[in-house]
Amino acid sequence: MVDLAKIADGIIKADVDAVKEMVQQAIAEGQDVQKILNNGLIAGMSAVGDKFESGEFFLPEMIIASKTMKEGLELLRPLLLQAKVKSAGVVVMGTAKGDIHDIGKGIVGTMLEGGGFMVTDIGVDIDPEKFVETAKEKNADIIGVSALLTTTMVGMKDVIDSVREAGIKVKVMIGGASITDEYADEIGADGYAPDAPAAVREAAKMLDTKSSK
Amino acid sequence: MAISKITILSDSELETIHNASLEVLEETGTIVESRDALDILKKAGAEVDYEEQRVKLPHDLVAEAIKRAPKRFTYCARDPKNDLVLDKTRPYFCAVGGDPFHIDWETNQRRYCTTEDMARSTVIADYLDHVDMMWPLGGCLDVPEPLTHIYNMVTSLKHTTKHVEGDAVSAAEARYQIEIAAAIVGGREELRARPIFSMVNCTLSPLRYERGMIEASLELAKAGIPMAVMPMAMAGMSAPVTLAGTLVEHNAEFLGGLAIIQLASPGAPVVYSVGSGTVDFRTGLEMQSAEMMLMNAGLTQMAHFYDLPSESRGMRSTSKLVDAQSGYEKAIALIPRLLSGPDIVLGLGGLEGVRINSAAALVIDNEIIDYALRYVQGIEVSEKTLAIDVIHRVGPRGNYLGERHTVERYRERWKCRIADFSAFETWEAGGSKPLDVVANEKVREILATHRPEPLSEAAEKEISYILKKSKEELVTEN
Repeated sequence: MVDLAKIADGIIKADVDAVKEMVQQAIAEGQDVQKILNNGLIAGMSAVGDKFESGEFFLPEMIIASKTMKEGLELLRPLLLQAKVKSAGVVVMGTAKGDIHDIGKGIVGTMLEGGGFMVTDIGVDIDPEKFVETAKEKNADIIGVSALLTTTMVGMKDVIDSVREAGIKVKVMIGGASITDEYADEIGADGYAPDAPAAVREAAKMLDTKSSK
Repeated sequence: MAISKITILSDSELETIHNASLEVLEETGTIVESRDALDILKKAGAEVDYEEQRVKLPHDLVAEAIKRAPKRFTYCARDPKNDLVLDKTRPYFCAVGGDPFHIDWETNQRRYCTTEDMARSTVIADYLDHVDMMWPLGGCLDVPEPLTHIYNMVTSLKHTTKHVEGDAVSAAEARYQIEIAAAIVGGREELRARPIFSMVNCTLSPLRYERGMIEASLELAKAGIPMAVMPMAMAGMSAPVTLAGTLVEHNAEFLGGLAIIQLASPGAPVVYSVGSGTVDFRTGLEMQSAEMMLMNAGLTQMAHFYDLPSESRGMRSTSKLVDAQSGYEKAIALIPRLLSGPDIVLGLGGLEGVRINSAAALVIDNEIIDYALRYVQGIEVSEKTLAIDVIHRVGPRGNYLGERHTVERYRERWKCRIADFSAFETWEAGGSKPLDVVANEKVREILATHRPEPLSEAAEKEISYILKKSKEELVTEN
């Protein structure tokens, strides 16, 4: 039997080949899917998260571990769907209308995946309607909107307005170089984070309080 | 003698980076998100995949672009005595803007910038003697969004007679700014002869050229407006983590941008601009660093390798306020920056990277520049400066204060303007003021007294008309 702690260790070391091989083997052995996920992949990512918090790891280790986790998750996904195992949350993300700067969005997306979220990246320069449509289609918990420029950040409000108008139950989270906490409040966003690691924490926090809101 | 220039890269290393850049442009290629630009590149002989918007540039096209680019030109200004001749013989200093935030000098709080803030910051920049040119300082965030860059340019040109280097992220924004500047100088041909503004044209690292910026640059090149092509590759994030790898990517992106402009408008003035840097791997946010300074110097050498005018960051700070960090980050970078020989040094007045515009920082930066410029002049050694006769005359035990040799020359000695060099008791009696307080007092004094030369009434009238037209075209009421 594959020791699931070794999968976790593989995530920490970002050894993609080893993680994939062990996940495949664990599946073949008939190990419980939920356990492979929790005690293997998620345990690994949370150890990586701890190392990040303690200052031992930095963004590159977080990102490469997230990518490794994603590869492992791809193998598990069909079984997880069958077993109706829920992800940490479903996120639909894109950049605001007129904005094509997507490096930050890509990093946040990968980090969210590492945090166990199911992420659909709908790209750059996105119409508010497209955010709403995709959120409906994916049954999203969170819409993430990113904008670098002061000239495009106003487009974030349009996304929020469209979401409210459509009456769908999804939280909107925003981020980007020109954004502040106050701006997020002003346009009625549910969440804001100043950097990528904070975005993962904020996303988790937002869904935690979902029922109480 | 004057102090020797600093070189970070050897001649053969420059050659290596050049060749590596050509290899990137030819083999991996770039994404150019503009149909017009793709057509131009295709016609010139580049390998173009329209569906992927992918362009592979052969070596000879890049060589042709470098050949066509003018090696020296002038950034003109409303007042010709503020013209800047970019010929690699001296550094000019550019106050930076485009920042979303402004530090209010009454409250010291950070908030979103307004047109009024920009107007006042521009008056301060117009006054300060070492500010040779400026980006629009902050942003007119209180006007409807499609008009921001246009109002930025108008607000800047109204309040300074110095050169303005702005932004345009669409062809329409570029056209309106050209019209506005033409109204000020008296026509399109006058503007071509005396471009009182220029544009920063950022690439989208890694290896991408965004449609709006590219199409704006095609318009500007046609009108004879100079452009600073500025890759902003972040080592380890949007470029290789190694400094040499980032130099290659930066240089490739610059050459790719230069090629688009030169193939579209041969001979268009282009500045080799350096915006690449490093990030804090804890947050992914850009940060000032020794590595950034090294890359700045190396890329300035690349500009010299092509014999092109250059601009680069020299006074950047990641600090959120005027404090010890902002002071040391700016000061430590400036002298090596000057010694690597850029035509334009960026960063004056900026804090938190380019997120905050601070008038107090600008006043302090003006003084740091004064200091650094004196340093790089070096020491003159001549019969008169050796002063052996004076030493003989004063001999042991005397003092030199009352010597004619001193009286005639001591005024050349560098003097602080806002820093405090007095004795403790004097400083205490003056209110024990820290430098940021003194700088803010200077800001208020400048605002109370300095009145930049206004635009002519005719130009004002024409600009109002152009602004009205731009609003009608670009602002759609929902």
